[in-house]
Amino acid sequence: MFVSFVRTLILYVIIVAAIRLMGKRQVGELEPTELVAAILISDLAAVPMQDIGIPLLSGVIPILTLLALELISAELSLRSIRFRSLLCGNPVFLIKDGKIDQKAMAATKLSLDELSQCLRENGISDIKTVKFAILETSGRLSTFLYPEYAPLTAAQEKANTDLEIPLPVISDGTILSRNLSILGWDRRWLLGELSGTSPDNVYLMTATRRGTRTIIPKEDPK
Amino acid sequence: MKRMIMPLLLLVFVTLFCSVCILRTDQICNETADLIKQAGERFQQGSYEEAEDFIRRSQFCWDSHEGFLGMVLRHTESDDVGFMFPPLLASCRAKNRDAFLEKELELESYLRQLSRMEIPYYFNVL
Repeated sequence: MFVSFVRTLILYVIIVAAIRLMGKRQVGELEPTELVAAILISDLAAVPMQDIGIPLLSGVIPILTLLALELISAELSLRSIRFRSLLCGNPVFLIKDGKIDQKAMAATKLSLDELSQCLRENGISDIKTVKFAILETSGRLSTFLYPEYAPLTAAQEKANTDLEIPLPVISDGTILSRNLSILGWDRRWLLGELSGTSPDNVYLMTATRRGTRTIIPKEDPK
Repeated sequence: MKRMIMPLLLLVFVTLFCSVCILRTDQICNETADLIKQAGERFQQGSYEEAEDFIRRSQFCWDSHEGFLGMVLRHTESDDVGFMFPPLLASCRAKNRDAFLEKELELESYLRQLSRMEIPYYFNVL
């Protein structure tokens, strides 16, 4: 009995430390790798906790290994867009300009019932009112209504502008050609907007179809 | 790059630790099995006291690493080996050839099997 108690204490400390090192996202929205790590870690911890005939190390070693792998994949995801999209996928437009993208629906294996449910959860009862619906990599659905159906804000009342979603076109120095083409812009326009600044020196640049852009330059690491 | 150092070092540490555990387990199991084998040879030659001495040395070798073995092997496995020594010793004292050879073979092959089980051969991994 006492052995089980001590083992539980040890495993608890190790798991809490591992989850803490993985970051706060681990507790809330989970990316696929994080979800796998969380499920496996809890499962691995339970086995030596319940069976005192199994060495504690047979639970600790896999947990430490998972922790190291999770930290490495998180760092690689931060550095490489390709690696990030490989592990976590890309956000997918399920509704674009009010039309359901059936190919995207099939690719994401989302049924119409599930889409309707997600829309209802966002307080939307009519698909026609949705201009954009994006399935995020966390599995959540982000929705943007047509301006005439969206709750009016003070800024919209003054400007009366059409809804524009700014998309990132440069992320940590990397030009996102896919987003550029979605917006209808090209590299020449992008370099022109940067007015001589190299894309390598840009941390984040977002743009809209109208050409509205926001540029956040990279900070000096020193 | 700095943030990669910690997880990479952790992976290296885990790998090294596992390798050391495998090598040490293999060494202890084979050392114990070798002593048991020598006990069998002495018994066949009629040197019963020497055989008994080798069994005791083998048991001491196993028992002195009990802490480490309990850390890397299933507790039932390390306990099973410990339980096999007294009947082997008893059959040696009784000079019961058939019983001794049976128990000696059983213990030796079990120890060799334990050392193989810890090595990450593909069939062990699978």
